[in-house]
Amino acid sequence: MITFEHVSKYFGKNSQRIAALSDVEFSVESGKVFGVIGPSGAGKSTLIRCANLLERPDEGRVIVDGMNLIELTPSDLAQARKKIGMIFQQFNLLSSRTVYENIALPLELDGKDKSSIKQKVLPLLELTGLKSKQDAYPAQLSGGQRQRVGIARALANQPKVLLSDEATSALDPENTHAILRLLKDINEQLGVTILIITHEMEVVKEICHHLAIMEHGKIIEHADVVDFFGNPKTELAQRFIQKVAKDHLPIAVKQRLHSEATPNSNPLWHLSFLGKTSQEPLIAHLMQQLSITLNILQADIELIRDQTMGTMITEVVGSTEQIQAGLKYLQNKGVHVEVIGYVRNPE
Amino acid sequence: MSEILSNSINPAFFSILWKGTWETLYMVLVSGIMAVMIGLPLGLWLFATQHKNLSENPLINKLLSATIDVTRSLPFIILLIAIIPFTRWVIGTTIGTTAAIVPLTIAAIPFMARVAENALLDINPGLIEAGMSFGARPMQILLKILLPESLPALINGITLMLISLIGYSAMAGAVGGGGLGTVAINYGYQRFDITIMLATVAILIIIVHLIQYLGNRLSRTLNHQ
Ligand SMILES: Nc1ncnc2c1ncn2[C@@H]1O[C@H](COP(=O)(O)OP(=O)(O)OP(=O)(O)O)[C@@H](O)[C@H]1O
Ligand SMILES: [Mg+2]
Repeated sequence: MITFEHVSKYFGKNSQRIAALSDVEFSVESGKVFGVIGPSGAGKSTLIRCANLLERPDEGRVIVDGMNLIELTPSDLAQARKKIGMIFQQFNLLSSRTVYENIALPLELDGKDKSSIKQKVLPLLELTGLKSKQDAYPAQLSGGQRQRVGIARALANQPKVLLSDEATSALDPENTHAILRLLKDINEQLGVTILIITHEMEVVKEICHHLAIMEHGKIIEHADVVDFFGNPKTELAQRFIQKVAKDHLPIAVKQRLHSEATPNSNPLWHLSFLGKTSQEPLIAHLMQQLSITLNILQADIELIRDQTMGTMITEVVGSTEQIQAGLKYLQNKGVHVEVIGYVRNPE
Repeated sequence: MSEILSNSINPAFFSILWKGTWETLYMVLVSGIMAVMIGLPLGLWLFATQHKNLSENPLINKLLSATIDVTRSLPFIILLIAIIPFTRWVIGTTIGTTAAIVPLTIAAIPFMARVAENALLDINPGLIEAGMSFGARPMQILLKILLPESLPALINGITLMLISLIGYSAMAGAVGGGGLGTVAINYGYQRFDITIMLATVAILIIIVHLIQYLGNRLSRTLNHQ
């Protein structure tokens, strides 16, 4: 549905020139939710803005629904954009129009008559739960409600693709959750393909099928979301997962956590095991056969898309040899182990 | 005291002021409307030609901008005199209220254009991107998104323009343009009629306040931010 072929985009001139995108290649299958994560300045916004040519790439092709957008005339491009909805971090609603009128705007510009506009807007108000707010002005709405208006407006032309750049970053966790559920419904019920930029791992876990990680204008890892969490390949991906794990540690542990090993410190492991593995009595084996002491800080079963994944954070107490043996054993069983850091023990 | 006053009151006191007031309002409103009709599109054009996603054109933008600045930097009284030949060519005469409308309009157009440009510059540029994202053409973005969004700011700018026009119209009046300016010169200055002088001042103050009040109210009603 969306294909980027050798897309590059540069900003600035001469020595100041930086490649916001360099030779980016990926494609998003029809009906999927594709997430892009990466550190600030990686080029994520530039990437998504190239998908509807708000930003014109300097090289390469951007193909959406079979059309190379780069070759279109301005009026054909405007036409093509009607089938590519976009939602924004700052919502970008018209303050002079009510909720209803904001959603109706794309249809009005299309020259639709009042009754056919109404026929399209009403179901969108229903879908986004804004029925009771249809005559309110954006200033009277909460952030979550404003983003719903943004979503409804983006869907007004019945697009095949929805682009979302940090659409939940300005929202509190509760609203974030509700918006994500709405996006998931839109994907599943209306079959809209979604390209979503985020820095929130929760977003990825909840709705993405595929995931790409960007750094310095390049996509450095690209995987099915379940594989990504079960078996991250690049260091950046591992860091992302560690960061999420670290964020969830109890404060008392965080304070004792160091990145370097010292003689009186124990490693802190983050284990993740996919599907069946989680049923096996791995822990018992480590403790009984290898005499490693595990001080389990956290254990969880998560749902990533529709797959279960067990995660565990544990302090590992044992000799270097025991720990090596334990690591090898877990890796043989297909368990992914990350060393988050080392916990120093009080003397 | 009251005797002196009543003795000195011109028998045509009310009709003189009435006529002057109407002439002032006529000049200000007609030139104000013309300035909006010409200056607003110029302002939109000024904005569009500097925006990469609308109809960027640095050359036109520079020319337009320079012309506006030159016109704006001319003191009104100089403009009034400088364009006398033009006024005569358009209206056929250079005295009277209708003739005064020409310089008033010319002075107000560049002001209006800058007001409109600034009102558009103040709008969140994200709205232009949103418009583009759902397939709006540049003209639609200007007229259906930016113009309505800038309406409260435009109303404030127009209010300001009308108030400046009242001041300018008095200047035009002083050189034969009619309106309260002419009344003040003919009766207040040349015949030392203090009552008429004070009355014109009072009426001008009332008109200015009324315009300001109505402008504020309208702008506030239209503002949903
Ligand atoms: N219009 C622009 N002009 C110049 N440089 C730009 C422009 N837009 C982006 N850049 C640069 O391109 C690089 C990528 O920016 P981009 O906004 O795509 O990053 P991002 O991944 O979205 O970051 P964030 O997570 O902070 O939103 C950055 O170095 C940025 O400074
Ligand atoms: Mg960004």
